[in-house]
Amino acid sequence: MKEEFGPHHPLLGEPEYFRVELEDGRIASVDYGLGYNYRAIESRVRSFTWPKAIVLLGRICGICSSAHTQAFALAFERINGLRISRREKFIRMLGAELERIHSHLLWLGLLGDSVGMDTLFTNAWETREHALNMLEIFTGKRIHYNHVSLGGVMFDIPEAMLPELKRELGALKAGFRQTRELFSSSDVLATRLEGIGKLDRSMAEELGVVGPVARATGIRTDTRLLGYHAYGDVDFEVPTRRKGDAYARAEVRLDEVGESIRLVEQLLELPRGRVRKPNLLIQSREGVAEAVVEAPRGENFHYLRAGKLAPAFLRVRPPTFANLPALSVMLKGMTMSDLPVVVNSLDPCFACLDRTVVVDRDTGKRREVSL
Amino acid sequence: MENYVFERMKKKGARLVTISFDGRLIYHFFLNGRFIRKEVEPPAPTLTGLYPSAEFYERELAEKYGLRFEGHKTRRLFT
Repeated sequence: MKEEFGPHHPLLGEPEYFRVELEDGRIASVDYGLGYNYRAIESRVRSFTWPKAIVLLGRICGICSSAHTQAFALAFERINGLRISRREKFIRMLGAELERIHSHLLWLGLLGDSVGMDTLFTNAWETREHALNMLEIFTGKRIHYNHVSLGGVMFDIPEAMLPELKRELGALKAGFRQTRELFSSSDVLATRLEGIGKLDRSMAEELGVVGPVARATGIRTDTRLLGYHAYGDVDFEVPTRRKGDAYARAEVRLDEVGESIRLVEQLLELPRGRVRKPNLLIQSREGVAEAVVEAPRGENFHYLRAGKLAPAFLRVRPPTFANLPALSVMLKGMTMSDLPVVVNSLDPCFACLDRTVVVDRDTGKRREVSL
Repeated sequence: MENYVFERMKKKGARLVTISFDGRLIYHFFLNGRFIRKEVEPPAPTLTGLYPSAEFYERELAEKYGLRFEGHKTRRLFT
């Protein structure tokens, strides 16, 4: 039996389409329909000059906007041999870690909502507010905080701002302790999530999954361990679990929030160093480079070929695209009612992921995608 | 020739990061903390036998640029 799920479905927050084949009420195979959120950013960015391009890159995703700008800036800096100061690195990392906290807590809230535990939903989102407030204090915005510029950061953090940031951090810590307790004391979550959406380690390696999904199967992978920016100089753990089910993925993400809070504490001890004003007339050498950063959902990969005034070619491989093949493995043998929970446990970000069709392979005709 | 290169990457335990198309096909692998770039003139053979995750990248390129990968099974579009 064929069953359709999405693109607009009360249990699916984002516009995506799943074509599910059922045998005796169990899922046998899943196929995806993508392209409901496509904005052609990879090709549009080629007509943008460098300072504008990085602003557009931040708009790929509302949640991991810092990860995309950072990967893009890293690739640009690699091509041009630019070095940024330690203080600028710390400010970039601060944005990235706050992003991880708010993204994971947003996800935890949605998970609570999808299993019908609204206390967790409201509590996690309340805690998330403190991370957003911190972002607002030092970038001026809660979402799409463009705090990364090519060859540095957009804003310095003045001394006078630090007490305010530390006060918010205290509130975030206290809030997270409560959220964590709520999560671990809940039988509803454990019974609903344990054992569903299972992915074992060998399969995860075979499919090349990244981020918390890979870490929940026991693979210790984290691009921060490669030591870009100043991640080599700060102290953090990479949490892993062995089970590989939806509950393990939730636990990994919660541990990561704890680690990120620890990181933010260290990062607020900002080292001295220069912070340059962003150069609005910046030009580039010609060349190619890869860059990778750890977005909240895993490894975010950018491949850039630079022209003089604008990017000549850009390829963005967001973490969700690497994790999507694992979804059909996870869903095999599950019931339809598990589908939203398993999809949610992957923490997919369709805004980053989306691709579309314009060419018909068989006839070579161009055609519009009908929604 | 390409197959030989890819098989060696697989044997070494490299992970396929992505396939892009910039006039030529560009394969990115991740091995021992480094990215390895392999450029291939299309048409190329499918990588799905070695890397199951290549299916999605190849389907995407097939749809975006009308490329064909020899031996790729799924002909259905994403949408």
